[in-house]
Amino acid sequence: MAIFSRLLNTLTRRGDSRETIAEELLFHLEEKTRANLHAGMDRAAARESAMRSFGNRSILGDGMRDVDVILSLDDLRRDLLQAMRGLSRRPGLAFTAIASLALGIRATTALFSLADAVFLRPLPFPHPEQIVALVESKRGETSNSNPVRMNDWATQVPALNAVGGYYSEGLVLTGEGAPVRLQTLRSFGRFLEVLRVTPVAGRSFAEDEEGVVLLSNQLWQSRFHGDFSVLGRTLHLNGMAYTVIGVLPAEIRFPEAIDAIAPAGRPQKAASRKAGFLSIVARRKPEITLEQVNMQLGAVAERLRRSYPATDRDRSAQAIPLQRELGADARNPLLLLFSAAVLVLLIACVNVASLLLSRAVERKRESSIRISLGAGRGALIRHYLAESMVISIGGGLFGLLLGKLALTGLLALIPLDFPFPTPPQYDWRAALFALGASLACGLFFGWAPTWQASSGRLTESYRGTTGVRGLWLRRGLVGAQVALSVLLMVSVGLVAKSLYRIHNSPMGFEPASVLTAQVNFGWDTPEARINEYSTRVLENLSRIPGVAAAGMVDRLPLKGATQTGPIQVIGAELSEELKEKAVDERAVKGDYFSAAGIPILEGRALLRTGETVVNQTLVHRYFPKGGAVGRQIITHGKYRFTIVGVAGDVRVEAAQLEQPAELFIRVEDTYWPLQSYVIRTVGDPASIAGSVRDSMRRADPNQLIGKIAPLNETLVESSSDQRTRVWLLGCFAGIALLLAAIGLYGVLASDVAQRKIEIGIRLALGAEPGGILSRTVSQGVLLAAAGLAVGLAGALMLTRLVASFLYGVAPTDPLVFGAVSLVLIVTAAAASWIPAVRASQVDPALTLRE
Amino acid sequence: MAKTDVLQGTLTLLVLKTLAAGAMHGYAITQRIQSTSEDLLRVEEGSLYPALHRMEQQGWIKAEWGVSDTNRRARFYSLTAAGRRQLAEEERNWSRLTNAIGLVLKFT
Repeated sequence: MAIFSRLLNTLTRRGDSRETIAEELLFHLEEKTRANLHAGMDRAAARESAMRSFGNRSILGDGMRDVDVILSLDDLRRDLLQAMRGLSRRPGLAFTAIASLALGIRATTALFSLADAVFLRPLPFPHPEQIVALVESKRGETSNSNPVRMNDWATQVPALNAVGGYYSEGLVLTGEGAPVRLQTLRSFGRFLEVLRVTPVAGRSFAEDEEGVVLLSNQLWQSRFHGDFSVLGRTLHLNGMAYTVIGVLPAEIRFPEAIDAIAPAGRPQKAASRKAGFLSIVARRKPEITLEQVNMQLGAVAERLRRSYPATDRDRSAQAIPLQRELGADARNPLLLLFSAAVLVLLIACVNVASLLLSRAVERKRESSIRISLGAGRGALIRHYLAESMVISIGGGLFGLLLGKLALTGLLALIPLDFPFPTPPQYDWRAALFALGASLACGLFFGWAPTWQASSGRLTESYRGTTGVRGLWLRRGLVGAQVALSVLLMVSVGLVAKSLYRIHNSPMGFEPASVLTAQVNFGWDTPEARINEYSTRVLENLSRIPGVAAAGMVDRLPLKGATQTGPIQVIGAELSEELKEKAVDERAVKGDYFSAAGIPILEGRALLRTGETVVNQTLVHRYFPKGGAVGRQIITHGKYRFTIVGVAGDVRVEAAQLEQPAELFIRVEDTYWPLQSYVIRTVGDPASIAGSVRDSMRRADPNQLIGKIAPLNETLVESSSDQRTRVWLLGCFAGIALLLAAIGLYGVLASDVAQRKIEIGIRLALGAEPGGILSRTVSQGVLLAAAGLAVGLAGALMLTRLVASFLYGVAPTDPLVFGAVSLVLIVTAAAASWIPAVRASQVDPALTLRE
Repeated sequence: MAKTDVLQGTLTLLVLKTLAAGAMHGYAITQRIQSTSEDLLRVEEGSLYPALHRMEQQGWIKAEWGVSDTNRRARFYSLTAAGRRQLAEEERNWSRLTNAIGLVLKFT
């Protein structure tokens, strides 16, 4: 009957139900039996003869050939089914393997879709590969351009089809309900032609047109309900009239979501060669390569250097594909996170490999039986690979599902401080990536048990012991795992330490009990209007009960400087270095120093026109002998200021390597339309936010007021992206450590299980359980130490790559390396403890009997 | 009598040709082939059913439940249009092959 059922099985696999086929074959059998009876056989012989015809050699021999072709196609399915059955008998192992893989795939897939949006997905313009950014730099540092130089590139570089420029600013839309801030791109030259943007409604503007605006699709839908009658209407932006002439396509983001594109105003167009506020883009001719563009660009830059030595002396320019330029800020953070995620995935893979290896060891007997029954090496390898494929595809699918959540979480969690030229999406590209990654993983961790199995010798396996080779392979894998997690932990430790450094070095001001309010005027707002507004606001603020001091600054501490440039000191010859070195300039108004809590060390804080307060670092650098108060300095080569006071150093950047020299001047002595009001309060700053808003609105009801928030909150924001990044990396490192610990535990546990008899004999011969315990623990710790050594060596070589994320911490910081080593060894000892205790509790009598 | 297994690859042709006469069940197919070939050809059950299923999957034949002349439920196979085309094709191939073999036998 065995062969009958084999035929039944063969047929069942092809789709019909077993019952159907059984019925058909039984019918045949009975017909044949009946025929045999007719022929004169007795009942038993008739039946047996009929059965034999199902079981003659044709089933095993030639007759099956044409069926065999189909059978081998079915092998894959059979292997996969068998693998699933095998794994379902070990649910713990299958779950651990699939879960750890899903975690790794999830993290990498979510980060992949971020990276995809920034680097890979083509920009939403026709022929995006032809668009380049013309990046100018001065002495190696990138600096913005101006309309004059843009015109030089447009007329003198023949490789370029069209050249345009842009800068972005917030314009306040009034007269359409509550005032709202519109993120606006100001375009110069043939900007729209470079991008080849065609409005979906209306028309685009000509190169020299003014007073017109193109609305984004999103704004058109949300504010004007997609109504075409908006075309031709006049909108008031920052008090100036603009005619709506068109609506942009929905997918346009440049470099991220914008509300409107308008041609630049006349004063900006008339800016001189000295100005630097413009970003330049160009479209190269299709037949011309990037190298050719750069050669021509270099030649023109050389000509400009000679023609305009005053402004262009140290300038050079380079054409960079637009996508790369737009993604430049995102490159490093994303790369760091992505590599961390890949490391975790790699460790997870090693874990799964090690699990499968232990399973292969357990199944050695089974394998050798298969071999002795004639299973080829190929079949065996296929069998093992099928198992790892089931795990990897399972992990990949789960990872893909979880990755969607992870991406949403990532986007919500990280205040991403870089632009997305295309919005991150979780689509077939992510799915493809997840699939590819999981298949690669499957092949990777399927390799170890396969190698083990195919190298197995029959005799060795029958003895039921593990080959030395298998044990060393597992140990090697665990060592590699430890090394990888050390690598990750060291990197995270370094980044975390520098973050700690950044946040715990003195800030130089007192952020508690301070409220801040932002007001942004457009760049074409007349100076008088800005100053009038701030005077009125400060006056109103000082009348609010509970306000101790109120002042204004162009940019809050830690938010960077506004203008920088070298200074001259009257009556002193500066060193060559100081002559070139930039000094930060901040414009203030009112009682800024008291409001921000910046100590005045010498002189006074309240400024009159032509006076300046300098910081301590400036005094140390430019007046090493002291006596700075009363001296005069010159900024930007022409503006003369008298020093009337010295203030304590205030951190300029959230992450600051070196304290810059800084000077404070009255806002009336310069031009800066972005204002931050700083209000020191007696009680809780949040409680007077309402009256602050009221008094600002009284100063000008039409002026849009930005965020009003305690200074503490604003500061947290400026470093929270870093903090989240470290937190995220910390999670990765934690997972890596956990996986390494699990791996270590696994290898020791199976080692103890296999050496049970040996341990029992030792104990019976008088070995101390304590000795067995410490031997096993030290075995685990030694293995971890070996991995640690490799990991530390690798970290020493690789941490240079994270150097750009480090502030005040050397890539070889001994504290971080030491702490990581300690944590790892303690974890290793803990992971070895359970198997060690199990080893020491082996009952000698019991094992001897076994 | 020495048993003559159906020549490899010709089983399909034989089954198709047999079914061209009308629908019949598996047992009837073996009987029909055996009797028309005057007991020279015998189809083994172990080959027949896999072949029938394969041909069903190829779309050459289709299977339906019916009642046999012994009044029992049986699965009846019949030719499809594709099966008819396949039969014509295999018949052509067969006669080309036998011709060729005949030529070789005649002239060497």
